[in-house]
Amino acid sequence: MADDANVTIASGLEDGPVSKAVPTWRIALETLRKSPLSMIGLFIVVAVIFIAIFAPWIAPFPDDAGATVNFAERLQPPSWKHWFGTDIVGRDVLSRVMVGARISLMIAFFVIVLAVLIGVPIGIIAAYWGGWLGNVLMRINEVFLAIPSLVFVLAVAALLGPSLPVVIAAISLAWWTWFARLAYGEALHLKEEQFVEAARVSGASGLRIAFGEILPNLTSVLIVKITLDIGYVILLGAALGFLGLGVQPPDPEWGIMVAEGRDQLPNAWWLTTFPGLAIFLTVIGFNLLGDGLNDLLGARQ
Amino acid sequence: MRFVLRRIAELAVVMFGLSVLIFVISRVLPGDPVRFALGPQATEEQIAQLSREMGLDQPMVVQYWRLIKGLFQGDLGVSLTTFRPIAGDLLTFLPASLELAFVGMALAIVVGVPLGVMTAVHRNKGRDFVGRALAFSGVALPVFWFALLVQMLFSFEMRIFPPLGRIDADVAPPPSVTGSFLIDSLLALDFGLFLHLLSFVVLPAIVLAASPMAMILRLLRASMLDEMGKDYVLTARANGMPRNLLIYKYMLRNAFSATLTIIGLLFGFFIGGAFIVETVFSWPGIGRYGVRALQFKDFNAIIAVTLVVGMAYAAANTLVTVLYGWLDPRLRLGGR
Repeated sequence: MADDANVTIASGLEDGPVSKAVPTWRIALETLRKSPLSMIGLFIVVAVIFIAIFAPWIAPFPDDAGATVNFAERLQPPSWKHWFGTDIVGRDVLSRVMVGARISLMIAFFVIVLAVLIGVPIGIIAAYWGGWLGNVLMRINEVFLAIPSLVFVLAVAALLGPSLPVVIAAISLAWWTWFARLAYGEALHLKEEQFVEAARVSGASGLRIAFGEILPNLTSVLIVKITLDIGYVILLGAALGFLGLGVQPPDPEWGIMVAEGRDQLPNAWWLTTFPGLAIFLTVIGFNLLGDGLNDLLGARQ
Repeated sequence: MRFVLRRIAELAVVMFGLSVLIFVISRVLPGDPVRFALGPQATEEQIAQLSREMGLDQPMVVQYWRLIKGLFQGDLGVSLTTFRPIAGDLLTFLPASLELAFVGMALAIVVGVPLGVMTAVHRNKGRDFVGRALAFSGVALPVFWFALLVQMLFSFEMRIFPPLGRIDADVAPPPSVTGSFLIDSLLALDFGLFLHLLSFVVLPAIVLAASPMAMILRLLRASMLDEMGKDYVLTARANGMPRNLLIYKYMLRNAFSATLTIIGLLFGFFIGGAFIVETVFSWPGIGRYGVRALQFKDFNAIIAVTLVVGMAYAAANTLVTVLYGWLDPRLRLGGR
């Protein structure tokens, strides 16, 4: 029992508004630097974002991202000219992988923005006002959580007809629940804090307390969750593409590229290997960075 | 008892909500499944007739009522591509899915648990680093890509395991008792057949187990490290309790209760993973059936599969919560 008491006191201190202040970026970077794994994550994430933004200019054959054909160079193994080889119609796989980073990051970006915008307010409202409203909101949340994300997203994408906006909409529809859940748990906790009590006594309105006092204190947990989730959203988007229910060809989406390379196995191994490796490394990068941020910001599980 | 009843009531609410959600999504979303099912050559009369047969011309409430009534009677409608009853098809494919999932789950536990303990015990040493690298890779692997790599390496290059299917076309399956080919072949005492079947299940099971294994490893490592800082561990050590007894009997048991909380998440992984793994390895299960339904826009089958999978998932999670409360009575008291 002594253990429990200690834990409560310790976490009570951590939760205080003073010590939970977000450290300045300088301190943050210094702390992050001490963990080599987090630095690897940061490096991968920065590199992927850089490639995604500048792909059309730095890719060796930027035109190959679209529906071009170059039969003279079809199915060439990796070489100095084509580092990742070429595909069945002679397009440069490296260029397509680079442009593909745009699509995956774009899906992840819009999904996370939508999921946060829908989920976080719902979670905070459910926690702060509670009562029948909170009950109804969290029950709806549970219904959405009651079905594995991949299955739900596949069904919505198939019924709507697959395309980029549909993929984003379908994944967001599944993903807001996680943010609602997180915000709900955190806000329930923060609601009892003294600074919230103080704001209430000083006559602040409910809305002001919910979004002016509670929301800012969710920042660090949200940053960690967002970083980790970007990786999982990328995985989900790629799985949709692979099954033909996501982004459609000729867009160089990583999942589609793996699927297209599947017909050329085992001979043209580079067609499946490199786009898959791109997904794998990107997701690892976001996971490592998210884990590092988690230690840094001391977010609760 | 009140605890159990409350969970069951909650489950009922969630299942009702789930059926409404799926119904709404399937009726509100644009696109004409009937037109799609009949193809571009279909006449307006044919479309109208099939719509009438499916009851799509009825008011929404009536349509929903028919869906629920069918569900309770075990009638999930007819596939729009094969025109066979969906419930029967699902029952045919269920044993294969369960078999693969059980082998995968066993693999994830058998590998993940010892690795989790080992990495925690040898914290910050070489072995810990390897274990954590495995954990990070496991959750970041795109399942479909990993499946193809494994297939390419072990089936096409090294020719150790067959690349596709559950059994060779010219081999007769064992007499059906449980539906699981593996168990049935053992019951028939046909060990040659058992090994033949095992060679088919190995690769898909490894791929399916990768992510859950990594999740178990990561969580168990964290909770074992937590346990190490506790007073009872120090006391036990000071009293000279044998190390292995302490680790495996006391610490692991306590660390397990934290690991149980992610079992629900693991189920989700297995179900989602099965859709992809069964498709890549042509494993004749519900996942592959579901993906086909999705790809052919088989409207009725999509609704049925989503509904059945969601309900099974929700029921499994409720079961875990109840078991968990039974194992750890403290949880029955705390609000949620």
